[in-house]
Amino acid sequence: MKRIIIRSAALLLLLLLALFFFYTGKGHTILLDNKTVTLGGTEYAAVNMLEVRVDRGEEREVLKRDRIKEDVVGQGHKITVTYLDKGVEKVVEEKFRIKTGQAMYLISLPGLIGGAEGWIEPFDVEP
Amino acid sequence: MKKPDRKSVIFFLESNAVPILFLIIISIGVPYSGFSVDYLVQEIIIRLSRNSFLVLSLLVPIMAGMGLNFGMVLGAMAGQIGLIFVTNWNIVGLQGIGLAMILSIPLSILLGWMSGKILNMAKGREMVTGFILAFFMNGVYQLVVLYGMGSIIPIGNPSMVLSRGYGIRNTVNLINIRQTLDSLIPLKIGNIQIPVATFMVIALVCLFIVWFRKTKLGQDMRAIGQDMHVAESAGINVERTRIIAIIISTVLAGFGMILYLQNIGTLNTYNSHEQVGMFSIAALLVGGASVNKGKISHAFLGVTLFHLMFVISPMAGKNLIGQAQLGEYFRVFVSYGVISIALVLYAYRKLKEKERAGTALAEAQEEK
Amino acid sequence: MSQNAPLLEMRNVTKDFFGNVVLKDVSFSIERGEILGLVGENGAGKTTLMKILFGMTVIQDTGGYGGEILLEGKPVSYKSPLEALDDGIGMVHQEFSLLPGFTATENILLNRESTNYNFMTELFGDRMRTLDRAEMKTRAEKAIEKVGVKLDENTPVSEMPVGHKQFTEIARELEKENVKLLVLDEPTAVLTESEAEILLKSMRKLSEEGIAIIFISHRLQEIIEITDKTLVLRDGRIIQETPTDQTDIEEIAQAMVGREIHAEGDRAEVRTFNAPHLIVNNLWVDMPGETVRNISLEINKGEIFGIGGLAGQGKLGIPNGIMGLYPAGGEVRIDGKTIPLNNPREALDASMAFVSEDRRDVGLLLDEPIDWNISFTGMQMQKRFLKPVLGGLFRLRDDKAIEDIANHYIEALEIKCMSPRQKAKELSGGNQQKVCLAKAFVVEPDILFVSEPTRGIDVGAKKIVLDTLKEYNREKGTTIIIISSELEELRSISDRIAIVDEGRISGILPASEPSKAFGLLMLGKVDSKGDSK
Repeated sequence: MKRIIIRSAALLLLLLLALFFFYTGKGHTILLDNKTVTLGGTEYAAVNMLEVRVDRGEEREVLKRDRIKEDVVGQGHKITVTYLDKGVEKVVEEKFRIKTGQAMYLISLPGLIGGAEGWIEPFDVEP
Repeated sequence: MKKPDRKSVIFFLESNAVPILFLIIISIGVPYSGFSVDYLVQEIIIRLSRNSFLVLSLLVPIMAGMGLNFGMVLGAMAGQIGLIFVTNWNIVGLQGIGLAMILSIPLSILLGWMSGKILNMAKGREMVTGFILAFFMNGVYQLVVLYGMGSIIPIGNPSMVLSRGYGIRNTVNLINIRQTLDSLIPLKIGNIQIPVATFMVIALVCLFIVWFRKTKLGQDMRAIGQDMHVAESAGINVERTRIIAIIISTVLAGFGMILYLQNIGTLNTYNSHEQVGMFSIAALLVGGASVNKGKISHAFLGVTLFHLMFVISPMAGKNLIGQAQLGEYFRVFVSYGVISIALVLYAYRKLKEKERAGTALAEAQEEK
Repeated sequence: MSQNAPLLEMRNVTKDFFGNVVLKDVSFSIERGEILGLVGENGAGKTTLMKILFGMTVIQDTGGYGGEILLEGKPVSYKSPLEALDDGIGMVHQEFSLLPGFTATENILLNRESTNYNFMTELFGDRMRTLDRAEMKTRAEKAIEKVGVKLDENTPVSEMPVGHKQFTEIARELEKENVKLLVLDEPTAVLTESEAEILLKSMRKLSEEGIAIIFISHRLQEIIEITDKTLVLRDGRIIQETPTDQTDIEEIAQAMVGREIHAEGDRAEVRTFNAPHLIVNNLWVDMPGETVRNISLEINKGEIFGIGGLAGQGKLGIPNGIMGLYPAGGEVRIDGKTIPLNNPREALDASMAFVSEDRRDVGLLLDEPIDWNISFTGMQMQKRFLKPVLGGLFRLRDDKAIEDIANHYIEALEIKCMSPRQKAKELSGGNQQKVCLAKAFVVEPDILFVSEPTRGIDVGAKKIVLDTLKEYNREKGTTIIIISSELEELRSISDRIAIVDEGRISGILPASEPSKAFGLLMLGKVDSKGDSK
């Protein structure tokens, strides 16, 4: 009896480990967009130049009307955007979670800076 | 020190003929290849980290008297299927390796159990049966991977699927997990990179094998390896123990394949597993193991000698006779050759031992 | 459980192999601590009796047995030797069942090792327990001490002298905790005299501790010396059951052989020969269990030469070595021409033929019909039974000729079968043996080796086989060398008999000498070293 419990526990542990690996190891692609967008009826203009960093990755420049790709692992992430607002350097920091089943997300950086709803949305490549 | 007499020297040479032959070939080849010592040492370390685990997986069935397990190809298939799923799901890094291993376990157990059953029906002819079984299972593997995946088994990653819509492409890029284990704990001595984490995993297997030999199950396997009938009459369940031996080997081979491929970084969907079986067995034999005797040291020595030969043979070939293809030629020729030689030597040695016993008998007569 | 019931009782045990009765109404009992001597010629049924006791699968496969076995008053019927072991009945086999690469300790405790707990057992079961070497060593030492010998428990069996192997086997049985009854099948056959002495001593000690022993031996001296009761089996029946102190060697021997008295009548006539045909010089043969150490023989043309001796002394190694079936050395000459050893083809080409003692594995193609078996060697070696086709381009099997020759021998040897096309495995042992002989006769050899021709076949068939050999010798003048464990059989057909002891000839005597003389040679009591005549 004891043995059955220990064995089931070990099996369960292995299963949990597999799930843990699956969730924490799932890779996602995040597209970072610096284009003028209209979100929820409001227009957010592209920023001239900004620097963006996802999690503890390196800081990358995104020029106006540019789009870059960033690979991330897991669900919980932090994005830090540094930009110049009328000559003053400002930093916006947001945390976000993404779904495991969704391979790609699109983040609109102007939307993020402007504090718009829906600055992040799932993105699917047309098959 | 006592001067070794001529007979024991000859006996030593005879029982280590294969490793000595390789040592000679390599010591001739190294100067001709023109490689630096640093380069060669680096290569040896890479090959050791890449292949040792696979070769070590062969030791358990040898202990149980089942010869060299050509069925390890089945484990390699299980490992590859684990990796295909992990790549499809885009699981990155160590988690990817871990998940691929966990996925390979049930598959390996199933395949190992099956081949164990079949090998039990072919006692004494395990090696050739395993060899043919691997061929057969290769067909099943191709059926699943080439036709089943993308049609019945959903594969969401379009870059892995053939353009016709189902079936896995010839090569799968394992960029997500590529060398993540190797570079987990970086260590550099001089110009030489050492994949510490991988070696730690290999050390773990060695410890497992050493420990396993001390268990009841290990002892039973050794008993069966020597004489099945005696073991049976002592009440050991021979068939079940043999199946367990093959399952252990298959599961380890699955893990070994994953470690091997994380180092290489690309999966040749339809070839990787085939080569692996042949080269691992050849490497173990080169290290001095035989059909009924295999030690951990044989595995390491074998990987070193066998792969060192491959590293130097293209350049040595080019410098000697202007043919670089010699390396690839050698690879296949030598591995099949080594296996044949080892099997012939095994039979020859058995005969010799009989003769030796007879001669000892005759000598005892003369002394009287 | 009643304390009055004997430890083991057999009631009316009967066994036949496909109509060939090997045991009939065998009843006896053995008490705690009693030593029972079981004697009988080879083939008298001793081994079968023990196989029944242990529930060997061969007994069930051949239709079970009749009668009853009671252990401490309760009827038992074992399905496998393991069940018998669980009930405390141990067996020490004639052939060693030891693992050569294991040490004495490992062999003594095979599958009963002391183990320690570790966590892995919870996951993968009890077989993941690790061996407790220290505890194993103590247990093995204790068991060895019980046998009463000095034995290094760390020596691998492969490096042990034969005697130590025997002691290891016995120690293994004694190590079992509940052992009540021990069966020792010819334990002293491979021992030197001093080793045998130690063994007998330890048997006595064991019996004092209450362990009953069934002691099977050919050495009657030992039977007299140690047993409490003697049981003589002959042709599957109990001939004599007496307390040992009321009998003597001669009475036992008489009971054992029994038919010797009238066998005396048809003793071969005395013939003289003077043309040496086969000469063997300093032959050694490495045949496991039948090692030949140094043998020189001179056998005459047309002679029937018997080779006898106890099991394991090397008599079987002689033909197997000369015919190239086992590694051998020395010199073999036929009519002055040296025959290379270790090459069966050369031996066959020199017109020698061999009817092996191992008819199931070597002698016969069990799945092939009788006629093929008879003609096979002739076809392979001498290209007979083949007819040329297309002007000799091919040769095909001549089925007519094969059938004719098969029918001829079926009639001549009285092979009981339904047709020449019947498969060899469907025949009884005696008829299989006749097929083996026919196969050898077909090639018309100059020298015929016949090894244990009557082993495992019944009395009637024995007579036909022996008569056939004799007839064949008289008709064709073939030199026949017959190897047998049954002395009387040898004496009834041979001209001269050599006795092999410890791989050497201990003496060669004319067959007309009394049995006793041969008996003494077998026990190595005579120092006459083997020079022929």
